Amino acid sequence: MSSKHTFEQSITKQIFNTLREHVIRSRTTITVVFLGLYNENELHVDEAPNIKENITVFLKNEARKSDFVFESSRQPKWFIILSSSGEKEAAAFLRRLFMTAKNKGIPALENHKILFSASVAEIANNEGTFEELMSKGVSTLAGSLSKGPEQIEYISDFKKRPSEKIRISILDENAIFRRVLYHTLKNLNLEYFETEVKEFQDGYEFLESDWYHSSHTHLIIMNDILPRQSGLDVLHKIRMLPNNRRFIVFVMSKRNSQEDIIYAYESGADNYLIKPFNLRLLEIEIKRTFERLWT
Amino acid sequence: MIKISIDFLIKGIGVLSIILVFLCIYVVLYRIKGKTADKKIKNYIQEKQDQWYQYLNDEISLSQELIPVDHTEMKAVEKIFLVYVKNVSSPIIQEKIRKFSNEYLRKYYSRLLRRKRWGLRMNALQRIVDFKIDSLAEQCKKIEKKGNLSSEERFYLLLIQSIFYEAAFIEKFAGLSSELSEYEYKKLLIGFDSEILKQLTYQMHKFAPVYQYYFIDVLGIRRNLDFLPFLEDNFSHEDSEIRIRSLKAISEIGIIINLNKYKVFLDSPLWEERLMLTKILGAFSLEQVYPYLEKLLQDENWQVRSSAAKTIGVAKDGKSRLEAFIATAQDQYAIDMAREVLGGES
Repeated sequence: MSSKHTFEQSITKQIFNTLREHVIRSRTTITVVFLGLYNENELHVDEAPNIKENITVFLKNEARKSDFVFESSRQPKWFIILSSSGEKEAAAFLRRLFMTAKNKGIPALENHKILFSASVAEIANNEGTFEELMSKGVSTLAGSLSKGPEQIEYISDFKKRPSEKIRISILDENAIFRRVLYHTLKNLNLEYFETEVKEFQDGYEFLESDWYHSSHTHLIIMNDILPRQSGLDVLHKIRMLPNNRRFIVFVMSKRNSQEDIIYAYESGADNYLIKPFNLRLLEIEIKRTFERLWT
Repeated sequence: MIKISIDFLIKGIGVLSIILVFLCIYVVLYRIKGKTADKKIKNYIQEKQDQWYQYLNDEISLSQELIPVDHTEMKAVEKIFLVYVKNVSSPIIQEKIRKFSNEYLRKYYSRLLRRKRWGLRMNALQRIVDFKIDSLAEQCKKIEKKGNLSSEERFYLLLIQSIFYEAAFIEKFAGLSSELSEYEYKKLLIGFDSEILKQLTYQMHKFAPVYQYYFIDVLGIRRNLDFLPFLEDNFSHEDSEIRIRSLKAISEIGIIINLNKYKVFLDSPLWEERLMLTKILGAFSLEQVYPYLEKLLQDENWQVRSSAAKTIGVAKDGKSRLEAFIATAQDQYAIDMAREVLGGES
């Protein structure tokens, strides 16, 4: 939804804080763009308010419906919140903006040469206040404007992702292989994630434990065939639980027929590893899985 | 009537009781020995498995501590190695296991190969395959020349030959006149890498007919597109079983490049060939092959009609095609089959 708000600090702060809280919950970064006019003095913006208004309309048209564009009388002239975006997306957005302003011109302002510069802050945690962000954004924008037109400076103070605890369960009948997997997973160097690894000899032992009754993201690596309760039984049970999306399930199996693989995926497996498999490959697949949790 | 004195009877019972007591003591001691060995194996594994993980994953070099000093430790190492071989695919780990087994487990398995107990010999043969103990290949070759080997032993000896004497094995594979069952023969072939299978395709004509059939089946199981030209070449084979199995193998592979090569089976006098064609046509878009499938849907054979209807039914827009067919067709059998696939909806 496109914002109709003009830049009022309190409303902006409120919206920003709401979106920032969602960053942690959804593991999706937002990015704040501080946009300034390089040639502000030549344009006499304050004496010709239609210039600013037209630029705001242009920015709102260029932004997505889910982004927020705020206008201000002071620097930054525009404060834009790009939802579900990181630095890279913000940079692409700005380059497109600079290019359109330069080549096509801004509607109703074709006779004016409009030159922007910006500072960009990716927000991946809820540390720091809105005021700190504003202060950092404005000072970095000043640096960017001093370098010339179409400059982008990046603020890294707010982009550190918070560390998150994840649980990993290994379900395999063979104690030696469980230990092999335990070492492999313990040695995983997952950025932003702390792992707690636990071993279970079968599905029954796992389901009887209260280990999986937590809100943590939970990776389960299990064999399809297990004594007492099989891996596929466990899979069916956990996929019936509310909020079951927190479980990431890797099924290990000696069976490599297409039917078995399809059945496992249809039952809710996220990955199917055919034994014997490469431990390095497993490590990389787990890393990629956790990297993808953040967008 | 036989007369036995009480004295003799008492002495007899006494002797039998003593034998029984000794037997009981033997059984108890045997069990205690077994349990002690199991405990020692368990302890070794618990103590050393982490070090083995580190060694096999290149984190530490081989230490003296890891080298087994007695049979119990060798059995423990065997258990650890087996877990890696069966569950972990890594050329580095496999090579480390191979080297270690050749160096430190060779004598152990060599002794087992000479034991009278079949189970122990089989265990040694299986481990030679699992751990790729090439230093025992010669000994296995000599064993093969002996008589009274079980079919299981013969099978493993062949497998060992195929691993360690690949070229010679391919050479004599065609003349393989051993009594391998279908299961054993296929298991042997499935274990071969694609290059060996490719070389065997040049010699298939020399195989006994039944082995030719199994060989083609295995090519289908392997689902390797490289075998497609060979299988297609079999379309002109005089043995209909070879043609049918080749078509079946192609349907398993599931990728067909040149549709024209298959059109000849539309009018085949053998319903099995027409049946396989209905499955193969599923690899193409319905747009390309519908006229052929419609023809097969009206085939005289029930299985061909059924399979053609299923192939159409699972394809994109297949259901609407079947509905259109039901509305316009004259052949009541074909209409019934189309209805069956649609689940009686039409």
